[in-house]
Amino acid sequence: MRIGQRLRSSLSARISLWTVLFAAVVFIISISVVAFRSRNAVREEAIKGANRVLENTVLRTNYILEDVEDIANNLEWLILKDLDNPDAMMEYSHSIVQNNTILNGCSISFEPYFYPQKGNYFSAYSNNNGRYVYTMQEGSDNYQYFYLNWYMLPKLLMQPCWTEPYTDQEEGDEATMNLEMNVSYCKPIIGNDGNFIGVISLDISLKWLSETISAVKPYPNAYAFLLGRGGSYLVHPDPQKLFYESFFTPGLVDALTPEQKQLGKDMLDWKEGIRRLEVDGEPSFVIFRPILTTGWSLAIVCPESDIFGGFRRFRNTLLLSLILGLILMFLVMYFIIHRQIRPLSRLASHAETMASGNLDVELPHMGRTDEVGVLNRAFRYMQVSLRKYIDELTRTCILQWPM
Amino acid sequence: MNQKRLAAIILALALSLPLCAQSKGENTIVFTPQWTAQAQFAGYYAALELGFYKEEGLEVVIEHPNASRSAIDRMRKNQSQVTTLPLSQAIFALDRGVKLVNLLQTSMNGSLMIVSRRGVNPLKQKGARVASFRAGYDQLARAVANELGLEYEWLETASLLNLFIAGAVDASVAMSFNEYYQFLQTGLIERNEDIVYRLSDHGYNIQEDGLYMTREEYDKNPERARKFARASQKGWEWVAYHQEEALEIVMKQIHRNHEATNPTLQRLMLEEVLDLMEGYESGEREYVLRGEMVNQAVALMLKAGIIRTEHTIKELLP
Repeated sequence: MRIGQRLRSSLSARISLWTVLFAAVVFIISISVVAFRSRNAVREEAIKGANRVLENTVLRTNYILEDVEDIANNLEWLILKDLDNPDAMMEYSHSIVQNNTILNGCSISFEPYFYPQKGNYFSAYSNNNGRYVYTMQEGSDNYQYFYLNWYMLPKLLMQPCWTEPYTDQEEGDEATMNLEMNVSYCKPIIGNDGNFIGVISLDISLKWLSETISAVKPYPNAYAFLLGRGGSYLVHPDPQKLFYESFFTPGLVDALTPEQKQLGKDMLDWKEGIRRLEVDGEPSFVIFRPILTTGWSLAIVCPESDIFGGFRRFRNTLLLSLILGLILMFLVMYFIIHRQIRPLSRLASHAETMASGNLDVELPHMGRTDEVGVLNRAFRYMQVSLRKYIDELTRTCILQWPM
Repeated sequence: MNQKRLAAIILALALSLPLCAQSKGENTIVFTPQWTAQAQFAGYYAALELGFYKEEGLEVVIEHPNASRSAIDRMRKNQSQVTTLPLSQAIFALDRGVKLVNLLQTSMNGSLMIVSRRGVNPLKQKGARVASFRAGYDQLARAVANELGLEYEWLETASLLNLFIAGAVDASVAMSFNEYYQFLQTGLIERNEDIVYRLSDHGYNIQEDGLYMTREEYDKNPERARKFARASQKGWEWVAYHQEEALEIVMKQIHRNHEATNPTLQRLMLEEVLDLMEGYESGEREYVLRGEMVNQAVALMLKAGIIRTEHTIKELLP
């Protein structure tokens, strides 16, 4: 109420307020346009940056995978050269792992009785346990490799392939107990007669792959994840998800949003793109791209809080500055306008005095040439005129009606 | 101490040693479930963890097989005394000369299904390449496929999931509590009745998991076998009423055995396994081997040439 009354009674307050309000509208519209464009620019730049990182990461992943494929191709040549010599397979398996730190293990495995002198099973297996490389013939009744995925897949598909993650366990000698989580590149060995005779399998550690890919982060809280063809996490910063869950695990209990489900499907379908959706409850951009040689799909998750963090801080600072500026503007304007129109109040007061009959009140000399000065001079002229008029009227009355 | 007294003590100790060894062996059971560590065996894990076997005076060790070596192989080589088997596998073993005794029948319904990888009804995939368990357990799927004239090409593997993912097969056998959820988890298929042929929905509802011992082992000490069965049943009853706690026990076993799974899959598995334990008509956990189901399984497997002799339920009962 007081503020309302004050506003109604103060021209300077009203002029100041309207001016500030108008200025606020203009500033808000301008800043909104600038902010909207800036936000889009920030987002575009962020996506470009993340895309560059993704491209580089896909390239790096491809280098790692192609290295392994090259090793398999070279090994195949050696195997076919010395196919009659099973002991050579043991040597090749050993030296491949010894000389390639990228590899966790290597198997050169053959069909039943391929080497009759070796019996039903012959698989030259080498493993790098971190301290040394050991080599053994791994096939036995306890380890019937013919039925395992890394042997069956290349045999059925008759082409090289990457497996899904697995642990390769076997009973028996503790030295052979291998609990490493691996993915393997498996290549069929085709004999000179064009028939399938065995498989080369090269193992790389999933943990190693995960650490390599996750090393680059475009933003502090951004992370990469790599999906296998069955949706399983080959790379993920959460070790519980890595290998144990798939992208679609929450979907088993209807805990995936339609957007998340679509993202998973698009990744499995080897599409590339950008999605804006909630990841672990946080709005994020997910940029994804396939690794076509393996059928895997790599994605980088960039939380919006990271991308727009700087922009939001800038925006909040700007808004705060705007509010403080408008307040200051109001105060300054009020002070200036009030000073400028204060003479009007004095004139109004003098006008009231004159209206009460006192025409002798001294009006101020303002010496201004603006509207206030003009009004001041008009008042003074009016005062003089009124005095003259009243003086003449008095003289006339005295003459007509002498005492 | 005089020498005579010392000699007497040593002699007494020496004579008691075989008795100690014998009594330890009598009370010890190595139990190998038919598959790797998972909620399918929750009742046994619970019985071990909660001391139900100890209450019966038994020392039980649980050793899981690996994917390329079956539990029945371990029993044949006397590495385990008790295992779980689906009924069809037990009948198959009988037919191959392995005399078995059913100690406890937990499953009252069939879970076996055939899941298409190609988005079509498996019954329309005549001649398809179908992944099957290397360890067995899918005799009924083969028998029914034979009955329906589907002429599938069966591919035995230790890794159904990888062949399914890679598209190296047109379909795969699956258990409704295990592989089916794993297939759903790949995102390659969705819950869709058209791509699943569940045997129990088509008149082939034949019970599966039961606890088995070789008859030879059983005859050595039937009371020990009964104690094991009793404690196991108690374990399963506890699990039915304490599912969350049971899941914790299951996850402990899983971590101990380094298995690649997660709590979501295990929860779904436990729910389905408990459902399968309830009799179709009664809705109760009956723990009974049903003669008509044995007969149906035998008839199907005989017709498909999977077994050579007609077997009866009597051969499986204690």
